[in-house]
Amino acid sequence: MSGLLDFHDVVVTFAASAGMMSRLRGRTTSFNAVDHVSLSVARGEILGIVGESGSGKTTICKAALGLHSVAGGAVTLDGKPARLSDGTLQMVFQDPLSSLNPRQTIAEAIAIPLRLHGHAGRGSMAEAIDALLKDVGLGAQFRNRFPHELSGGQLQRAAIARALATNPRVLFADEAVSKLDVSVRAQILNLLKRLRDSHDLTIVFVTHDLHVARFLCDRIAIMYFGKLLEFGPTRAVYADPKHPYTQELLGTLDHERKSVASTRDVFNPLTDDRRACRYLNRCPHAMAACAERHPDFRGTGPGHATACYLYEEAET
Amino acid sequence: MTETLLEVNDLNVAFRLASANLTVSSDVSFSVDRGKVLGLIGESGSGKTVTSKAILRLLPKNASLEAKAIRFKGRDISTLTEAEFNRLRGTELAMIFQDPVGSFNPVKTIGWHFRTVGKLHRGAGAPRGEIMKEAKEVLAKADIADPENALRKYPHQMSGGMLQRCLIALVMFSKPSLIVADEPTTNLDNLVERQILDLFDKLRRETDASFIFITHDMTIAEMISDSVIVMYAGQIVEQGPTEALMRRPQHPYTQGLVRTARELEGEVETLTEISGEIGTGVHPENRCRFAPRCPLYEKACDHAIALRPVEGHGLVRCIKAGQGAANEVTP
Repeated sequence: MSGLLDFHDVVVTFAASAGMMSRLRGRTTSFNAVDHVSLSVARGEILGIVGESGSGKTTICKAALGLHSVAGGAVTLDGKPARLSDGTLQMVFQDPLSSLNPRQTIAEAIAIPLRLHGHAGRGSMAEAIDALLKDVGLGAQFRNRFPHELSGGQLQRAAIARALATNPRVLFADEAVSKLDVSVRAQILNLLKRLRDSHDLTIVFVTHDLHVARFLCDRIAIMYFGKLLEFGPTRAVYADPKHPYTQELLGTLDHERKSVASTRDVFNPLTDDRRACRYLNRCPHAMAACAERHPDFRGTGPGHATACYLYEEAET
Repeated sequence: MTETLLEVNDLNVAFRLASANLTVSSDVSFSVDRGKVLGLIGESGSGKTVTSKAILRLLPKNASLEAKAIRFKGRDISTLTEAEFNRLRGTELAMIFQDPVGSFNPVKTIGWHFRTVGKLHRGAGAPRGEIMKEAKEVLAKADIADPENALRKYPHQMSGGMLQRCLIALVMFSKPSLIVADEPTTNLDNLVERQILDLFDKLRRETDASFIFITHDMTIAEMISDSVIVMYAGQIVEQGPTEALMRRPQHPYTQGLVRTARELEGEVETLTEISGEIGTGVHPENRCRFAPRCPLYEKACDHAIALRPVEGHGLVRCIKAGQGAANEVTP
């Protein structure tokens, strides 16, 4: 397995906040927000990481960018550990207003990474800024505006322009359209698809919106409480989801409501057995083996793999 | 026979700001029948939340409200005194907010909330055991697996979905006739969203309460509502029965929304975009408010456009509505 960006058995651990007494006694609990995840992202693809809140989908991206320290495993770019300071990995956040400095104009916000990474000098700065704005569909009139003067969609475009300033190879987009109005969402989704082609980008798109994931992503990875449960080509996963969790999740798209969403309790990382399959309590197919060890990946189609005991280990 | 529960006539809401009066909801008229669900669709700034809060008199102090009439069960409630209205709100009219955490008192148990609501609506002398018995029943109806246990818990001990179900149970507990639900699923994960939608669906069939369901999601509105109102920049731009409106949207804005929703359900390479963004601030009086974004815009749109009926459909605020059959949106 080797792509442009590889996650090798990545573990990110968080300490759970404990009461004061147990802290004084030196007892702290921790859990793995990302639990031994291996995933490969090919050059030029848009990979969707889909999961609910608490699934670790944002954490794994932040780990790649060095915003969380990795407790185990490694993230590599082209087979080498990624250099975090050279701007080859960039991130666009959910809320563009809070990710831009309110006292900086759009041009200033874009100029800083251009200057720091030596992509534009004093003479070529104005031109470079205009080119980036043009790439994201903003006119030159936005150069001297402040973030509060822009609407949600325009802000997200500006945030994308700033991320592109370092000439990144991989762009992480964390729920980048979920705060936008419906009529603006389509514009930004189309823009991301265009940028992938025009800027030779690889995009890791984090979302909980199943419609958006299907439209934008070439491949998707399903995460649940820190574990990767299934990955494969978007079309194959949507047509024939293998993991019971994916089946339940994609069942919500069904308009006739044949499936009924279970109201049973979800996995609790602090009290439940962490060796067991995370989906055990909700799974209609739960077996004895599921409680003993979280299943490994089994091939369930071309480029499609599922971590579930329902499928044969040898099959590829 | 259908019975009109709520009738709103020419509702106008404006905010007094330092510089000017900002109209956020203009000439909004609609009605809700008993036992029906009205979907109110719009983006942020469209006036959908302000309109529904105006009905419940939950607007901030700097808002001014004018309406010809707001009739609830045949009685004009816009002229009631504050004390009279307080008796109505909570018992007859209720609201479910987007954020369940903020709707509960964090230092009190779920049971305390039920006791308080029970005493408020049944008199202070109501026997406690009876209130708690009913609370358990209504929690069970809201798919809470262990009501006994839930009543003992504090809000922070519950997950978002559980808490939203408790809030819905708390609202149903006082048996209101009209429930306004303001984006009750927006912050929730897919599976929880589906649970809450299933729950609303169950409630609307089991009770004779009416719902105003506010959302920005066309797909959700289609699943849950009998009729739909689409708002844009403070005005109703289209209203009608859900099926007709989703199948043959007449206003270019609705057409754009429905098309995007359908494209996201299917498989396409690029999505149809509605160019530009919703304007804020003062809208010019002599022009269609959607004109700057409209693909069909022409000179004739440069005047105030009125809502007009389109046969077999509903009301549409567009001079081109009802012309030709080119409006069909195919999935």
